[in-house]
Amino acid sequence: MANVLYVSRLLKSFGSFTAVNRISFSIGEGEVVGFLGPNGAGKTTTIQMLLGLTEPTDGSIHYFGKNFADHRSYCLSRINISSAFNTLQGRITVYENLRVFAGLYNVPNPVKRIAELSERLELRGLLNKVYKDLSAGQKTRVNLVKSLLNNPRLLLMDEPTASLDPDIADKALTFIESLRKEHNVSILFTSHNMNEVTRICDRVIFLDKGNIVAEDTPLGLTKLVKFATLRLTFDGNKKPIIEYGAEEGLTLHFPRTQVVEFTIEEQNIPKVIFGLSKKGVYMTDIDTQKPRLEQVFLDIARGGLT
Amino acid sequence: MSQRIYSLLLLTYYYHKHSLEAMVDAVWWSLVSLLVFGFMAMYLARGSSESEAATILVGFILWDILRLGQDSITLTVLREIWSRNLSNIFTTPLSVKEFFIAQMIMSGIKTLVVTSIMSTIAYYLYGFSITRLSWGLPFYAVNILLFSWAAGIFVLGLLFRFGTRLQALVWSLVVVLQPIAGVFYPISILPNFVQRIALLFPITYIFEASRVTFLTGYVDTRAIITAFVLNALYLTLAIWSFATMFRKAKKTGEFARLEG
Repeated sequence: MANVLYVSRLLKSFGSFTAVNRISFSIGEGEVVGFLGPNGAGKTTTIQMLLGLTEPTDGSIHYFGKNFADHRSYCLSRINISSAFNTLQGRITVYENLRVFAGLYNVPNPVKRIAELSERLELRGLLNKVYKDLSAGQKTRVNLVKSLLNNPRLLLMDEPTASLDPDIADKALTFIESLRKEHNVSILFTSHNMNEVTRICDRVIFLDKGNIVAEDTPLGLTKLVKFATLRLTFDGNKKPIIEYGAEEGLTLHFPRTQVVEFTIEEQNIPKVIFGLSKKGVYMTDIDTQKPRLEQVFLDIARGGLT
Repeated sequence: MSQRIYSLLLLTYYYHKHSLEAMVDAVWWSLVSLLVFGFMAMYLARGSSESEAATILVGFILWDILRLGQDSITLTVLREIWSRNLSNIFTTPLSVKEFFIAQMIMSGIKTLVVTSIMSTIAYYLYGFSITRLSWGLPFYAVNILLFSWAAGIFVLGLLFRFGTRLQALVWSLVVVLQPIAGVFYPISILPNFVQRIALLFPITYIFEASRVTFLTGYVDTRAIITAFVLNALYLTLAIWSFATMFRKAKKTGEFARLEG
């Protein structure tokens, strides 16, 4: 798989503070990569460097094999950004905004392109509305259309579904999935919604304090969390359970009278179930809640995985 | 014309089409100032010659070219910063050179349109004709416009480098020159050391020369050439300072933070 983006030892320092600490990663053709991390991890600074808004202190960025610093116009004409945090010119209409950006990207036949994309993202009825009068969700959809005008080979998506209602967010994600499937578009995707990341990303890069602290498939990352939550439904008295918990040092939680929950290392689950049985606890239901990407995120944010 | 330059012109056109305040910025202040200066000139004409009083209107119309030319460059950018759209524009393949060419074209068009309107109104209201500047008029106008671009580019560099906390400069930087550049009166009435400072600016030569042309018909080509040379120097310095401050703003991250 050819790399559309290759970042090598990218460093950004502001005085003595290092925002991004010599990170390296790549994105292959048609690959969707999640770029996650807590606030202040260095995601935004990295994206700003990838777009040429901030100059790296050191390191290099290559798009399609070309050095970004030397081929800015070539690279920017083949990538685009959709961010929930940028807006377009508020005083003019949606169509006028899109017409301006189609021109800035040298899009051939802009009228047709705008019509096609507006149709797909259900924006036809909004084209003549003034941009500032749109709802946050509508603005996000317009930004998405803007980001697709130049048929980008790489799309940087900074929380593209923020402020979308669940139905439109799902449609947007389906659209993003179809972009990859039909046009082999590569995507760098940041989001705080871990379900979305798990759904659409092939690979996830976790950033913390300017460093890449984990990089794997969403499933592979969840395996980094060794703990699982065990939820047992039992018959009879809870006293033997409390005794066993005290012996093993477990923190028990009884959400209902006949239900107990506790977190243990995944490898100890059989041992605990066997131990409780030996104490005479009769279990009517056993439910293991495996860690999700959300847990990986929380662990990294709280310093648990680093 | 490059598609990208055309698109930026289109953006400014769309903005003006929808924005009353942009129209006010462009025409309203010019119109109100024209009325004030026109009546002042009529009043002063009672005590001196009509022509001498009318030089106030020459000064006003040429000064308005400076104000409009500079505002046109800087306000366009400020409006995109306020809309949080500047970073979208600067992440397209648009080059800084194309960006400035577009701003200069728009500034030229806007200045030509507004100045023509004001000159026409001045003719019908006060019988004042700017064409009395004869063949010197385009040279005077172009020199003032060149200086307005230099000022606009310099202010943009400051905005990018230090952020919108300096946005007041958009309206106030060139105003500093108004008392010393001989806009409404000859610089000979200024103290000697102020005159020496005034002569560092190309617009001083233009305002002085335009007054002479208006009163006598004589076009001072030496003053025009001096202004062109100084303008070339100011434009070079403005572009250099913009490039330096833009580069620094990208290094410090200030440019990316412009939109808050």
